[in-house]
Amino acid sequence: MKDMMYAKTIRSKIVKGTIKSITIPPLPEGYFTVSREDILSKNIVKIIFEDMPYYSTGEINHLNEPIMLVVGSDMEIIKQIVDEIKIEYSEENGVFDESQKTIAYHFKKGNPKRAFKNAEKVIEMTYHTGLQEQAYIEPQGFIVYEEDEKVTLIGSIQCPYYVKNAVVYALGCSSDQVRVIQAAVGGAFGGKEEYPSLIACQLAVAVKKVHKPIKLIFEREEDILSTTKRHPSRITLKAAINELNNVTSISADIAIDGGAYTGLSSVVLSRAMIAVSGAYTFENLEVLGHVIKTNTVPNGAFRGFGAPQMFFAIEMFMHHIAKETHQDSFAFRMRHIARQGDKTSTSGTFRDPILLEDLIRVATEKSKYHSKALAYSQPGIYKGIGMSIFLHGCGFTGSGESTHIKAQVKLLKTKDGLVHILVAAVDMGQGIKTTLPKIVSQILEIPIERCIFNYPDTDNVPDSGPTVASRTIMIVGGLVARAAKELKENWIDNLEQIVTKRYVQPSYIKYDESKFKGDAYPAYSWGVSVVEVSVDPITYQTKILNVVSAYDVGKEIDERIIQGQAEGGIVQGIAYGYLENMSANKGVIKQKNLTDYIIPTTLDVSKMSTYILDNPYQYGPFGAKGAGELTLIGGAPAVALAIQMAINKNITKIPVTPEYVMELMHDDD
Amino acid sequence: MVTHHIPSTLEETLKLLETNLYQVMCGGTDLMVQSRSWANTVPKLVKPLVFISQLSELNFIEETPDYIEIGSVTSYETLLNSSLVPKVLKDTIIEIAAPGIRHVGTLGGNIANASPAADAVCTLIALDAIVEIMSSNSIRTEKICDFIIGVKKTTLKPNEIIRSIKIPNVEHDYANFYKVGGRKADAISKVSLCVLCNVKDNIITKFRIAFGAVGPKVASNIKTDELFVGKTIDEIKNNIDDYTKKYASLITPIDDQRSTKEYRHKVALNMIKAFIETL
Repeated sequence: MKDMMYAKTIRSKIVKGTIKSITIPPLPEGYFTVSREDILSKNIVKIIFEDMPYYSTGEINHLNEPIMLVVGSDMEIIKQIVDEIKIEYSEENGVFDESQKTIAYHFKKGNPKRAFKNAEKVIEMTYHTGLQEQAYIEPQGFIVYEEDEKVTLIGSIQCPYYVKNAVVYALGCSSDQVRVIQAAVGGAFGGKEEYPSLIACQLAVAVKKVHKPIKLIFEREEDILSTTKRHPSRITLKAAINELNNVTSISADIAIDGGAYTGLSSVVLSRAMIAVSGAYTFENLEVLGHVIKTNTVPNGAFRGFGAPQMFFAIEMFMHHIAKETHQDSFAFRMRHIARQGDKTSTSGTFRDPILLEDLIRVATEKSKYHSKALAYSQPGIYKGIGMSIFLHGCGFTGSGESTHIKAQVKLLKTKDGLVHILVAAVDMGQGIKTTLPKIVSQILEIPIERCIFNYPDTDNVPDSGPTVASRTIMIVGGLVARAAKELKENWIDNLEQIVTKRYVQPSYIKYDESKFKGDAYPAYSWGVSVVEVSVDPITYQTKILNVVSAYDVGKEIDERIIQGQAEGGIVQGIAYGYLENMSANKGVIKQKNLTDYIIPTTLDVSKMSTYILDNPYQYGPFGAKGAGELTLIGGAPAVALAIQMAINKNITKIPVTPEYVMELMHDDD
Repeated sequence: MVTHHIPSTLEETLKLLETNLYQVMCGGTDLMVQSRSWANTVPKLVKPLVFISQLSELNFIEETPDYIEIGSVTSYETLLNSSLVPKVLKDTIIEIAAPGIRHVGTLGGNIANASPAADAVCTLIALDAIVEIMSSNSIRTEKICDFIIGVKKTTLKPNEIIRSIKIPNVEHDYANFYKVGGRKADAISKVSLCVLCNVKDNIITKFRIAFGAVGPKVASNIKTDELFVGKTIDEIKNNIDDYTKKYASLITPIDDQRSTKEYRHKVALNMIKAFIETL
């Protein structure tokens, strides 16, 4: 782009404190610093909870917090200016424990008090989960430019309208003054859900000062050290057991580490809390949840959104209960699995057929789960097999779709018969560039080449909501399918036609957000994953030997795309359980690049088999439900259960690193 | 900008180095990472560069009665494809980084970079390999275990270059390299081990171990190794814990972003023990 300027972010070098002074050297002509003094309206990243500034207010809450941008045309000169800027701080001690609670939620199902009073036995365990980095292909970045008064941002993003709304709020301008265009995205995994809004606000303020196009691309280390990750959690579970050795109630106390700013943490917490029952039905529940504030980099959206933490805990716990009550873990779990008509954790109803028994049968048969579990229970074999059973609520939690998002989609048929699919959903590798045109082409009975899906541009597409929460095919695709049906009925050759559709919540869905009561999700996808491992008693390393999964995602729109989601998801989930290790010491992240933050390569993965059972959902296109997050969720508990069997020790935290396995294996030395 | 020279002969290279002004760069797989800067800007190099990877005089593999001699700029990939290179060194090289890096990375660079986690250095020290070092007016040799003096520190002077690596041409009954990384490929060692052993009539005639990533430099101690020599396999196996523990004081790892000192220490000893059990 002509006259392109570049920007580099100046970040805090302390974990907590205040800025005492900033000394900026005399700047050459055409070079600028942009900071909170330049803000035109609000210094808040508009997410859900309004507590995160995009330029430091002077109060520092985490290491590498953005303070200002240095902008100019020559990157070498920018680098020099960055080196010469001196910031003095008054440093304070950070907080890293659970003492600062920002959000507290609580809900109940049935009468947990009575169940615990009448319990024959009470079993309690505490589980911990760690940070996980999204490790998307390209780091965060935008190009911003101004035309007349209008600000345009092109970026690697998941949610064009989140960015647009955040920038409109930050600039205090009218909605037509901001345009957001998606650039090609090579994976996002939630990491480009809310975080890009922060950079977009910084850049929008910068372009209003500089009036030239600006490019800001993060370095990989900068990205790892300053962007959101999966929330670490501490989950304490207590079960009331009756005389039949069944669970009559679960009591849960959940704390997730939101980091320095709350951001989306409240919603992540809700999903974690709602997932408390796993894929089981418990008549009585008491669930307490907190977001805790610590002086570490804020945590945020990541594929699974609170569910992977909870599913790890509940799956390990169910296994633990069976062991403590001397019963066969498989039979025990089977007695508790959710069935059609059961009440969900939030006292809603599982209305649709549940294929769990079939999924479990397929996954256990194909993996030879039962015979292997028996063989591996002998000591000295160092092999294990673990099975996880899980579900994922599709779409936004509760009435989010109807009250907050209100998705809108548009089909534009041109005179020459091309059908443009106009939605704000982005293709970030999950394949909607294929699946959405496939839905339209199938319904309209026209070649797929005539169905056009381009990267969204907020000037051309309506707000169909963010590309998150496993909602794109089921919700957006469902609306696109309805629009296509309407277009088909009214199709007139050689005429431009537009069809618009808005989301209408199925009338049976009722949810009270404050009480966590009712149907938290319109539909659920289900899965079973079996992971087989061996553990090397010399190096304590885990080797993945086999992975078998069975899923109910309603209906596959594209078999190979689901295969891709399934394999990518389970690898990311298994790695979360045993390989990917990120830790912070007093607010300083130790693994700051992809040399030290290890993600799996193909050599770390075994053969993977995926089986899909059809279970069409009436409101999904062709019956499709969500698939994006589901496939990750069972990975960690399955691999942790397998390792637990291999070493015959209780695993209570992930990742199950070789260092942790060594500790467990020698705990009686 | 970075000033650089691409000399076409070794002589020209050594003459340039006599000014003591230059940093030598071969494959650059360590140096470029260490000098990384904001993308699309000049790397943070403190000295101007002299490139040497093009020097054909340093790109060779030769066999003499006493040594396998490897030119310092010979790529890992070339070594993997040579019939002269000892198998244990190939087994080591295949564990280093990924194919892309192995096409430009070299033994000379791995030694000069002197990382305590350098896999090839671990095996070369076990093999008692020596480096031949040249300047415009001198040539000297040094055992690699003496050449490397600490984390990223060697005895190489600014006017010197590593010409070649000489590996004693000896056969081993056992020659194994074990690497423990964060994943199965493309990982920096948490701990590594090279062990060489000869056995005659059930008696150990040679025992040699080097450990990577357990101290400020690759660790080895010939005196400890010699405690095994002359012993019967049964003697060692019957007292396996005692023999293994003889190395305990040599293993002085630290906690870092990749692992813990307890893990490194324990696994290093476990691997020795596991090796002894294979005898």
